[in-house]
Amino acid sequence: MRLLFRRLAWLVARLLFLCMVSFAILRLPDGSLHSTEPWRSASQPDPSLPRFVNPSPRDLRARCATLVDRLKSGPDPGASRELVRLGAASFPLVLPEMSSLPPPAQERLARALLDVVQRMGLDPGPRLEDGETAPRYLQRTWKERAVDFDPRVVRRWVERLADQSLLARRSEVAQLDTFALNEIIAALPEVRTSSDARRAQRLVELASHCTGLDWMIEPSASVPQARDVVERWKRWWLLHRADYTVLDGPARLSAILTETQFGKWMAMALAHQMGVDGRGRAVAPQIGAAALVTLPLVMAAFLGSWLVLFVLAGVRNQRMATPGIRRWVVTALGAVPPVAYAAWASSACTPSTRAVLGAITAGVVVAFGALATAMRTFGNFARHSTDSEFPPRARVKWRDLLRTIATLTDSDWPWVLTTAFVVERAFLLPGIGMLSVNAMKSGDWYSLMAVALVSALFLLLLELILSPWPSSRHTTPRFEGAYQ
Amino acid sequence: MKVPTFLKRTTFAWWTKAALAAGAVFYLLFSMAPTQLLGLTVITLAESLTAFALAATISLPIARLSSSARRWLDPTISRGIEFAGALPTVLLVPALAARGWPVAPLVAITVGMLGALRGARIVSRQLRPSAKVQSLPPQQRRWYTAPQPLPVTWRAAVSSVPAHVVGLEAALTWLDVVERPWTGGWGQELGRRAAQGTLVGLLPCVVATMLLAKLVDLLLDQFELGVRQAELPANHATRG
Repeated sequence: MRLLFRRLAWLVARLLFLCMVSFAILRLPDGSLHSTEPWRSASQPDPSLPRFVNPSPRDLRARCATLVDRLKSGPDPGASRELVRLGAASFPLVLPEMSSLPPPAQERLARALLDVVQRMGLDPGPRLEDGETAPRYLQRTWKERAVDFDPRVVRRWVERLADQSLLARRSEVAQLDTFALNEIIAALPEVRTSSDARRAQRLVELASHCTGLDWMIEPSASVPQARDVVERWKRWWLLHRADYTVLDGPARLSAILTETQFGKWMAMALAHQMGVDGRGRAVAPQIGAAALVTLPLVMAAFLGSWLVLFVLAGVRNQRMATPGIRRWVVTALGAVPPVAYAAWASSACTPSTRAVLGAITAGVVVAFGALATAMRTFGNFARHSTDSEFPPRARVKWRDLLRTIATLTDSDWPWVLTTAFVVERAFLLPGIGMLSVNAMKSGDWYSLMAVALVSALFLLLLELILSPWPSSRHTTPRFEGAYQ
Repeated sequence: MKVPTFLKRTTFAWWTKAALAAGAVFYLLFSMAPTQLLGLTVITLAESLTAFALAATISLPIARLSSSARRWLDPTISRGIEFAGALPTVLLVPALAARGWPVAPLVAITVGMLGALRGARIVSRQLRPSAKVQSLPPQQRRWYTAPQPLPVTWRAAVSSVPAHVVGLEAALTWLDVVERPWTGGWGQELGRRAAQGTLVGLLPCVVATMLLAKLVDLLLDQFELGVRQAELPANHATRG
């Protein structure tokens, strides 16, 4: 049990490492990702985030400090816009410190925040007309309402609103603006029934109001449509949560890894079915369906090569080592590119036979390659070993065959997979290969990462299955035999 | 200039075979312009040679280690195989090509690395006792494990390189995963012809690849012959 646990832990660590390597290769610095407002995306993490380690994660506090500094040094429309986006979530950080700023900076800051106040449903107009300055108005408003900016209060109000929609309840949550986003998203239900959809509709409307994102649930929306909208909001919050919340304690420590592009991908993969493709569909179900096509092809390929190796068990060492017409044929067949085999075989297939013929082609292509390798390997060792190791008239030992399978299977994996992809293209089978090609063309890196993850997982499982076989890593029978 | 032993021992019959093979390739590929054919051939050979060099540079030093050192290296080689094999090659090459890397060298490096790992894996798992072991007391024998013979390593690392270079190029072209235009060798031509549906047109490229693979096989045989003949007196002395 302990051994199993240790093996699994080691497997997970290796899988994580392989995912990181694949991510480093696949996550391209694509110009299309650098939109002017990356915070609006519900699928792509902010491209300005570091790839793997973020030594200074930028949360709401860091953003507010930067924006206040910018406004202190002079008028800055960009900073004002960003402050409006952050909304009332910034109030607990900005307003208590406002009085310590120079008067012109106070004025600039207050002008930006007045837009937020209006969005909250408050009307500062009459007060300002009475001669009250904007900073003084905001400070007074904060004194009156600071007690409401408490997560426990917000949670209670949001739950009440989700249960029943009343104008007063909607208004009191709206007055908290983006400060309530965390609780609003947390209260979004898994949409299974129409009552869930109605509950989600009330919450989504408020989230949309305070963020300016127009992902709404229409009153006539069906349950799947409502579910899609809710999923989109949850994905968006997963990617941009740190913009609206303060990271403290363990959350700040973990943000060193989670507030990165890889961390966001991991979070999306674990929480949202491996992310979404360009059309907003979850990737995991697509990969699952495609794997059901590709895995039989891969298995057919491996079975073909193993079958060839077992047939070789009947061949005498002497024959294997002797050059002749057999080696000519085997070398020639092993050198034919899979594209040629696949193109020729697919030209003869009908729609009803293409799956079977595809699997046979994959098996044959890889089997020829394995045959060539095995004959070279055994032949070489037969030629270069002492007579006691490979007696000329003896046949290849079963133990040596299994060892060869264990040795060659994982190193053959890249070619087996390439062959499977080629066969899928030739026989129009909707497998992982076709999915990868489409994803590569459309720059859909969530799908590509899912392909890399599945490939790495199968490679590791293959190693795990084959490692107890009699490879010479742990036992060296032939070596020990030489002592006697 | 010092001529390698295996070339000195090369027979007339072998040169005849090689010349016939080269002639057959050019005859079969004559359907295209000679300059184009020459360009494709040069690129394929350059890719294959780069892959050979890479595979040999990595796997030969490992093969010359003692068996115990190779066993110790085996888990590292496994990690290398995982590293190289996790991302399918038909995705790895386009992903790197999208960063502006040239495709043909990428194909050569990918095939070379995979060949090196394959060769290293084979030699790291095939252990053999040294002839010296027989003359030593049992408690000391484990320190005298033999390195692998060079021909075994060469064959394990490079024998499949031409087929893989052409196969990978053909797959990249046929699957159409590289977005920008690129210049390749026989594999690209094969993939292009397969995409156009000219199935008979694939034959010249396939035959050329077969002959190149066989040429490599013959060269390896000659190398092996040279090495074995050079080692013959030493073996007799040890065993005698």
